[in-house]
Order: sequence, then structure tokens, then C-alpha cells
Amino acid sequence: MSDVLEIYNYWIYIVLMMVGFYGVMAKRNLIKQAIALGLFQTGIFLFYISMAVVDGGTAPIWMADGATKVPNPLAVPAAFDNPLPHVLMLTAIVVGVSILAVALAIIINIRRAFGTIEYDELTKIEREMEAREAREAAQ
Amino acid sequence: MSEVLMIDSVLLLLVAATAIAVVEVRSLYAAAMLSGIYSLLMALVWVNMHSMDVAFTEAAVGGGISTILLIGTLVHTEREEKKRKTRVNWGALLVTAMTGAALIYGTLDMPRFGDPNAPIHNLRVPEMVNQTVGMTAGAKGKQPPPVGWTPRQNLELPLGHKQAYAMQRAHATNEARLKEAGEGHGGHGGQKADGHGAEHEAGHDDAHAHPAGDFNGHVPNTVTSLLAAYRGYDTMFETAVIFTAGASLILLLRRRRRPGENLPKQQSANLTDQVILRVMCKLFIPFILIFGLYVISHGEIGPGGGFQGGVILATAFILYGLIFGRPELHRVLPERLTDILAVLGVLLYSGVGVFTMLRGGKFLDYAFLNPASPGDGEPLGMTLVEWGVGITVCTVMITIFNQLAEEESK
Amino acid sequence: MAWNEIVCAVLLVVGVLISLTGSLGLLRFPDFYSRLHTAGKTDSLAQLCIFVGLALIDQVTVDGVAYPVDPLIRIKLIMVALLLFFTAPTATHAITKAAMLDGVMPWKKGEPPK
Repeated sequence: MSDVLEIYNYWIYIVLMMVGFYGVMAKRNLIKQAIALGLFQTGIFLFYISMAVVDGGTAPIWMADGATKVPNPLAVPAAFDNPLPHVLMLTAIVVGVSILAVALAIIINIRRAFGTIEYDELTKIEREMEAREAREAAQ
Repeated sequence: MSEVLMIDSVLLLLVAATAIAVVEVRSLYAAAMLSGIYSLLMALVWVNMHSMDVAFTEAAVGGGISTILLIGTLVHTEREEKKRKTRVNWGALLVTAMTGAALIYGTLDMPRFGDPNAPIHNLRVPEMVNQTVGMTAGAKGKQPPPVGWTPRQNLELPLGHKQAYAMQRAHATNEARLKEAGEGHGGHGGQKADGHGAEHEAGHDDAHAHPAGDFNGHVPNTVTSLLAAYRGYDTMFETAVIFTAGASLILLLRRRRRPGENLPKQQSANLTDQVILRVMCKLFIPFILIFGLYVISHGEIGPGGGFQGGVILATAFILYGLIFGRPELHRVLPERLTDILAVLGVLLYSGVGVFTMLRGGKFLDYAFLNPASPGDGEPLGMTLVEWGVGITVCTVMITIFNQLAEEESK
Repeated sequence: MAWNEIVCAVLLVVGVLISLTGSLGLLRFPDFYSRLHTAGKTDSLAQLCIFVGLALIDQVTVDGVAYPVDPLIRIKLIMVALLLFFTAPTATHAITKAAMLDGVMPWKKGEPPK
């Protein structure tokens, strides 16, 4: 049991990533695919932040030792979680929302041009267009 | 079992369940709401793992902005996924299961959760935490790192490592401190190490000097310290990525207006006639703005910073746009202004770097910002840099909202 | 046990119970408006109980050592409670009004649940 709990976080990260992966592959709705891509990203965030945790560690922020302030009980370097993964994921989240925004903008443009956001309908439209072009070229 | 793991095991099950619901639910509105809930749950997970800055960002970005963006898109597209005969795509499920199994097989070799001896905590951490960017050893201002910053792997960690460190620090005499300042610093001090012990002595009595135990010579929030100094270039280009996203949104969705043509009148149901919403909105927007500004400028002391504060500032404007209509938002904050400010934020960040270069330092070496007290350069430089990030993030988020909410042309 | 710890414990238990009834009602109630009613209670009363209860604590024990709580933390907790106390009912109101405008009808006795 304790063996499982020791790598439990990594398993959940795999579950999240695979749910996102399945969504991107199996779902035909473009917005659904964009959301699933976000799930995939969050799984990776979970992986990084889980690696940063140290037994008995706390947030990597120093606190002032003073009479009026709470003395930080863990104001010792070893008691910090590793701050580097936090830094990486902090910026990755904001980049993630930028990716989502650009994806949504492209989806809106697709919808304006073709009137649908379902992947299979889009491929059908594309095939029809290709067939029409081929016919016109033949004439 | 540790407290972290106890809360973790419950929260992560909830997260996994929400993730499956997000993918499987058919209504796209429900999916958008569920992804907001998912992000808030994730923020709780980050808090539980002591990653306050990430939690802050996730709550503001995932719970706030991306939900608004998704709903803004759904208004223009469709409410529901199309019905299909087969719900489950067996091929995709098989590929997913196989990939997942391979990854799980890989985790069996991972160090256990919270293991202090894991490579990630030992390999480059001493160099990382003792980074000298923005810190001139022995100069007026900040002091060199305190004693006790020995590499972590030299300690017997599992048995009361806190007490071990506390004892080590208590027993470290002033002599040892001077010795470390003289020797250990030469490694990363480079040519500055010459005669730096004497300088250090002189700096001791200086009223400007910070106490020796002062946050390892850096700003108190280690995350911000790494974000803006150790990984300063990386953060600069992340800001550039966000700016690029805003620029692409403008290219993709902004329609060119003829001169004299005004914004289209709002066609969707207007919320302006709701008195309670208007009153509460007017009551709370000032507080949201102040909180956003506080988060940006407080970033080097506590959790927060440009990314989080910028998003919070943007939500204030987006709320205003939602309640009072987008023409009103344009009157308060014209598109031209947000475009210019987004550029200025990136320029402020890189401008700090160029300024330090002109002063004779390296790009983004904050110690060269103020020659009178180079040790104080890091807080100063970080404040400037965080403001650059904050301005860009805020204006780009407002631009994205504006473009996604733009009414379709008839 | 000091008085504030007892009051804190009572408030926390009350808050958790109200949250529980809120979630239960969300699952069991027949229509949109009554479900929103239980959810709104969780947002206002339950959070107030929990935050005021937490603000009453005056020391935190970490690894067997007790540390006094910074008064600033209490002020922050009360301010968060106040903020939610104003915004959550506003949100509930906005959702209700949007549903009314959208034409969602309340459930009446005798109808099947929606």
C-alpha cells in the first residue's frame, strides 16, 4: 500500500495526461480537442510539481524573523521544496492560456469559413472541395 | 503517511474524475464550466504541495480567464458536440492504454514522492540557490549567503534534517562565516573575489547593509528570485510568447474598420439593466485593481508577481466589459492603448537588460542598475521586470478577450 | 482548551455540515432554482462560519512547537470572508436572473423532477 502511495502522484499525472491524449485523438469537436490539450498540459504540470516536493518541506519563501512577525519554523534551506519546477510551471501555465486563446481564435475563423467545428465534417467538406477542383481542372 | 500525501490522495482522485467528466460530457458549456472547476481543484493541489505561486496563477488563469475565453468562443460556435453513434473510439482507447501502461512502467523507477535524495533536489540545486545574478558579494547592500548553505546531500536528511540544519547554523561561528566568505565565494565570484573579504568587513558597519541571514542575499520569494534572475532570459521570452499570442489574435480576428465606423452595437443579451450586478461591479472593481497592483509589486516578497497580478488586473477590465458592454470598455481602454501597452511591457523587460549592458554589466545583471548600492539591484530590477511582465500579460489578456468577444460581421 | 478553540471547532463543524447539506441538496432537489438555493447557502453561510472559525485560532503547532498567529492573517481571513459574502450572493442572483430570462420555469408540486 505504502509502495503505491509513494508513486501515486505519478500515476495520477499519467491518468490526466492519457485522458487529455484520448480527448485529442478521439473527440471530433475542435473545442473539445483544445480543452483536452489543456488537460494534457496540466498533467505535465502535476508531474513537475510532484517532483519538487521534499518531506517536511514548505513553500520556498523566506520569512522575516522579528518580534511582530511569525518566525518561520522552517527557515532552513533544506526544508524548502525545490523552487525550480515551480518557476517552470508558473510560466508554462500562462503560455498554456495563450495557446488556448490562439486555438480558439483559429476555431472561430474555421467556424466562420465552413460553418462547422466538427473534425469529420470538415474533412468531408475538404474532400468535396478537392473533388470539385479536380472536376473543374478536367473540364 | 505525511499530511501532504493524505490530502493529496483525495484531491487527485477528484481531479482525475473531473478530467474524465470534462472529456466525456457532451454539452460544451458544461465542459467549459467543468474545466474551470478542474483548474480550481488543481490550484488546491498546488497549494497542498506548497507551490503558492503556481496555485495563484492556476486559479487566476485556469479558473478565471480560460473559462471566460471558452464561453466567449462558445457564443460564436455551438453549444453541443454532435451526436454520434459510437461514444467510445476503441482505437484511440487502445493507443492511450498502451502509452499509459508504458509510462506507468517507467514510474516504477522514479524516486518516491517527497524523497529528499532525489536527483532533482541535489544535482544542481546548490549552484541554483547560490546564484550570483543581481548579487555582488561584499558590496554595499546585500551580504553574501549565510552559513549553512552546504550542499544538501551531505546531511543525514531523513532523521530530523531541520534540527541538523538549525544546529549547524547555531554552531557556525563568525570566524567560519568569514572563512566561507573568503574561500567558498571565490568559486562563483570570479575576479571579484580579490580583496572581497576586506570589502565585506567594511560593509559590515554600513547602515545600508542587510543582516547576514537575509534570504541568502536574494529577495525573500525564492521562486521570483529564480524566475527573474536565474531564469531571467527564459521569463523574458515567455513574456514575448504571450505578446506573440496577443499579436496573432489581432491578426486572426480583428476586422479592419472603415474610418468613422464605430464598434457594432451589442447584439447579445445585455447585463446593463441588472442593477445589483452594476452596483456590485462598481463596488468591487477598485478593489480588484488594487489587489492586482499589489500582487504585481509584492511579487518578490510573497507569492505573486507579474503573471498573476497581470491576469487579476485583466479580470477587472473584463468584468467591466461583461457588465457594461464592450463599447463601454473601449471607451475606458481603447484598443490602441492596449496594443501600445502590450509592446511597452516587453520593451520594459528587455530595456532593463539593455540598461544593465550599457552600464557595463551583462544582460539583465541587476547589480548594475544602481552603482551606489549594487546589492540592492535585485529587488529593484525585479520590480521593474515584474511590472513589464504584468503590463504585457494584462493587456494581452484584455486583447484576447476583446477579439474573441467580437461580434460576427453580418 | 481555550474558549476560542472550542468556538472555532463548533463553527468549523457547523460550516462543514452546511456545506454537506448544500451538496446533498444540489444532488437531490428537483429543479434549477431550489438547487441553486442550496448552493448559495454553501457560498455564504458555510464559508462565513469556516473563515470566522479559522480567524479565532491564535496559535499554530508545527512539529510540536507552537507559534503565535500573526494578527494580519486574521484580518486577511475576515476580508476574504467579507468579499465572498458580497460576491457569492451577487453571482447567485445573476445566475437566477439569467435563467429567468432564458425561460427556465420553477418546479411545481406534482410535476416530475427536471
